[in-house]
Amino acid sequence: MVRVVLPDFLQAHTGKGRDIEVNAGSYAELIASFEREAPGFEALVSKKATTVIDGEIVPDPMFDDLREDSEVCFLPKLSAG
Amino acid sequence: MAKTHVSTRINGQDAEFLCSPEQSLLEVLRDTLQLTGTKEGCSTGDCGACSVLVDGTLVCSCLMFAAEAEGHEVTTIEGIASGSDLHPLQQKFLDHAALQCGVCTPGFIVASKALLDEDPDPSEESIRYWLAGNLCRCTGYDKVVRAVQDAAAELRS
Amino acid sequence: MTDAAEFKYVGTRPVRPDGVDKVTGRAAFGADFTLPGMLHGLVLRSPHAHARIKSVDLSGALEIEGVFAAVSGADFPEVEDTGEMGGEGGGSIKDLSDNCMARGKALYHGHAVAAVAANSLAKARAALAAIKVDYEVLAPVMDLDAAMAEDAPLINEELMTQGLAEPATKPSNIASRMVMGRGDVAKGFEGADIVLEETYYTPTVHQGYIEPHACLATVNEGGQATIWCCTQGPFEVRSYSAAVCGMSIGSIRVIPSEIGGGFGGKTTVYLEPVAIMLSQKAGRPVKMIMSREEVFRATGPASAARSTIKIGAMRDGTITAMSARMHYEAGAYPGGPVPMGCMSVFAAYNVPNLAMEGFDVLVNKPKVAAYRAPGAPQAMFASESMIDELAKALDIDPIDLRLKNAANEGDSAPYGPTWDAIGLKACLEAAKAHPNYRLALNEGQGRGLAVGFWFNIGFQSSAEVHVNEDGTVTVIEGNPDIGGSRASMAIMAAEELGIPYENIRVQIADTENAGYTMVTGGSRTTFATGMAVVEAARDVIGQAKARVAKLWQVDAEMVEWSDGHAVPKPGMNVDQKPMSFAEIAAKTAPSGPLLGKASLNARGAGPGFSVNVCDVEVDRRTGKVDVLRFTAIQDAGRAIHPSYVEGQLQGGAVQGIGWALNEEYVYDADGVQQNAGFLDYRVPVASDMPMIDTVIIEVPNDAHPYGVRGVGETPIVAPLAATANAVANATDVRIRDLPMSPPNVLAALDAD
Repeated sequence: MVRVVLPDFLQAHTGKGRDIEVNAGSYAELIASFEREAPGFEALVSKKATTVIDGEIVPDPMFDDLREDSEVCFLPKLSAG
Repeated sequence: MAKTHVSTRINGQDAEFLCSPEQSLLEVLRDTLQLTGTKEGCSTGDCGACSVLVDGTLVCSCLMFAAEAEGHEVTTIEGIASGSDLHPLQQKFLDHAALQCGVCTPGFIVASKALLDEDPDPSEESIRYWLAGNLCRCTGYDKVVRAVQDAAAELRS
Repeated sequence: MTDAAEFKYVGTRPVRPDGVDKVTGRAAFGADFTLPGMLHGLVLRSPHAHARIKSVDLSGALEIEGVFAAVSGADFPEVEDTGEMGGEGGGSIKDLSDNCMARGKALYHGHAVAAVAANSLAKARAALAAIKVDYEVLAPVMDLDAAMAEDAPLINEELMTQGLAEPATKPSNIASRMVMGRGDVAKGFEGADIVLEETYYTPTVHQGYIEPHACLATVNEGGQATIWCCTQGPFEVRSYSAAVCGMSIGSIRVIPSEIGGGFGGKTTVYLEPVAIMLSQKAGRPVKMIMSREEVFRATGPASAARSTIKIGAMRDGTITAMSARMHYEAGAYPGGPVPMGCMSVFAAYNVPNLAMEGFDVLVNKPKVAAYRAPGAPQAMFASESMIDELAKALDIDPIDLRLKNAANEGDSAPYGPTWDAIGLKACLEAAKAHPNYRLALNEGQGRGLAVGFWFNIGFQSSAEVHVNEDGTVTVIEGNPDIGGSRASMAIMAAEELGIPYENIRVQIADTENAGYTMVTGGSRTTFATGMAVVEAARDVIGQAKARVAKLWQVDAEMVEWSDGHAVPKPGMNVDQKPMSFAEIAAKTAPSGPLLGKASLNARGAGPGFSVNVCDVEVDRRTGKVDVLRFTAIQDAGRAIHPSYVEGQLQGGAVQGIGWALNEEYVYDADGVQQNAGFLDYRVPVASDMPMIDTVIIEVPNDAHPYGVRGVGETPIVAPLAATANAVANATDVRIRDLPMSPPNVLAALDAD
């Protein structure tokens, strides 16, 4: 199972807690499964979140495979100076 | 409004220009004479980016009327190197990475030259107080002070 | 990862490629461009901090001979509120547009309400004076308490707070609330031997770049625009200007000048869309330069913030729980750095129970802009002051307390991800071992220490490596060089190509001559664009080897690249002499130019940690704090050009010390800034500062070919608390409100 961490606005959108586990072999599958359960998830992620996979900020996660022990964290969107 | 005719010397050459009474030397240097190496950071004499030498004295060109240059000798950053040889201050600023964005650098080099012309062996404290009128927001002054110290040593040798 | 000893150029300190132009006055900055027939543009700014704009009459301005154009909010297209902007910035394009030119209401003193273009500055000034604006003056809200008061005047009458547990029922000045955390803080505090709670405040400050914003725009009759400007992000200027002016991105070309500092403040637009609109109306080029006063009154200050920190710990120093409740001023539009504040505040520690809550609050001040690690200096001033208070309460050495709780590789960051290799413990150990940490202090002197953290980012960059006919190389990239990055690019290219650094020239191209490259910001340039340069160099080497293989009539894998030459692979029994780039370029000219390219979306920017040690002396009669010594220690992953890494550490330290000791916006009761100049807004000057000692720690970041981590932003985070902790150590008085200016320090000493 992939470990997923959701920020407050995605917790509110999905009705789930901060730390959850999802069965997914790829990032695309992970997003699709959230989208099925809570439509609008993908749009919210692209608008308001930064994706971190296994400790790395990943700007283009859509083609990433996930392992059984992968960790996907959605952070509130980062901005910087 | 009638313009004033001004005869002066800039960087070792005779120079003439027309200016309005309210124009600063900085404005004329940059906009009329295209000597844009002298920078405008505040126009109130607080940042030193517009530092030039007038008869060897360090001046904020934003605080001096252009008409006051009549009969005087002005040195800008463009007049610091001799021919194709950089002034030791210029070389040491490069060697010490004493600039990051570089916009304050012309002012620092002109101000430092005025210091070393007057005091060939300044202490760190003298350098810091002399350059207190030149603001740098990038370097924290450490490498600037070291570059001036090193240039002074080279000029003395 | 290659061993440092194997590097020929990485880690050396050559003169930067653009250096000579910058010490001789040749380098052209934002205000240094001119075009024939150019007009001068000026902005009319609101004299009120909060006012309804009932009407703007431009006719008087347009009647003046020599005035070619005048615009107000009505001349700008309405922009749809699409939510978040592209690129990395927060906020919406609609707000950005409104901030460039007010519609309906002026939201801060200095907000643009109209603009003119004339054939002289004198006429432009006369034109501004001839514009009639009818204002209904409203009460301003100038701080967090006033903004959040029950009956506070509303800055945006339609703003409903986002992120509340129960949806908001009426508008307020609180734009949003964010919560984050893990574990159970109540339980954590309950089980603690000691619990402390305090509130900390940091004032509104400005980035203080020495070069004011400037641009020159020309729009031709076919609707094609060209802009010269000083910016950290030419591609962002292009997309933001296109959106604000209702143009296509392809119709705008942005040519970045040299840039005289930015620190985050030049990642957005103020003048550029206005200059485009004026040029369009006038049919002439329009140049606009801000005065220093305009820079203070109308551009990116950093948020003032108030943070309440609660901490629970065991007697041995083990922290059981931490909570933070933080309010950030956003200025006149939503978009304060709340997310970064919530995520950074406890990033240095591995604590099971955490709760972070942040609020984004509107006030009648300029819309805040990014400032070096936005949100983190405010947050970590609070948390790192509190750690110091805890160390004192428990009588534990502040380094030992931090080491006991410090985050490690494999721990979970407060905001979710598992830490990869990080340099926090190495920085703490280096601080402990540093001779400066053991120097004796005299009466009235004190030592303080604090940790800094920043995320660092990667994202989109492009680069090209062109091999010239004689074997010299031109590198083309799109990140304005704000602190010596051309040198880093040339070093990495030299290392890859195996040719002398001096044979490489690095060119910062405009938006039509470089591939898309995100802003010089987020500490991303040496990391992400450096990665693109390395990939482009590898691309051109691959092409060169393929050509040589053809010449030698061998398979491509029989040719290797070594020390700037194509050579036969050892043991392959190819009897050929090594060929340099010059020889390859000459011999294979019919195959076309040798040109390597890369465009990428860099992942894996490694986070940066720092530790600062500050020694101060406090004059109890005047309240003046002198910094005696400052040691900045930071993990750079790998320092490509160590002098410029040191420069980032030193410059960030001094900016942070300025924030701690002197800098703040001072307002009168009407919301007018009283210190909008460098005389009264006092940034540190040379005589205020000692030398800044640096230690570069290198815990390589595996995501970068040379191990680079961004270094630009982290340095400003730790100095605020390091200085405050030093003052507390010197005086036994804890100051929790910045700045620690002489009157504030005196008042604190007197109250004690």
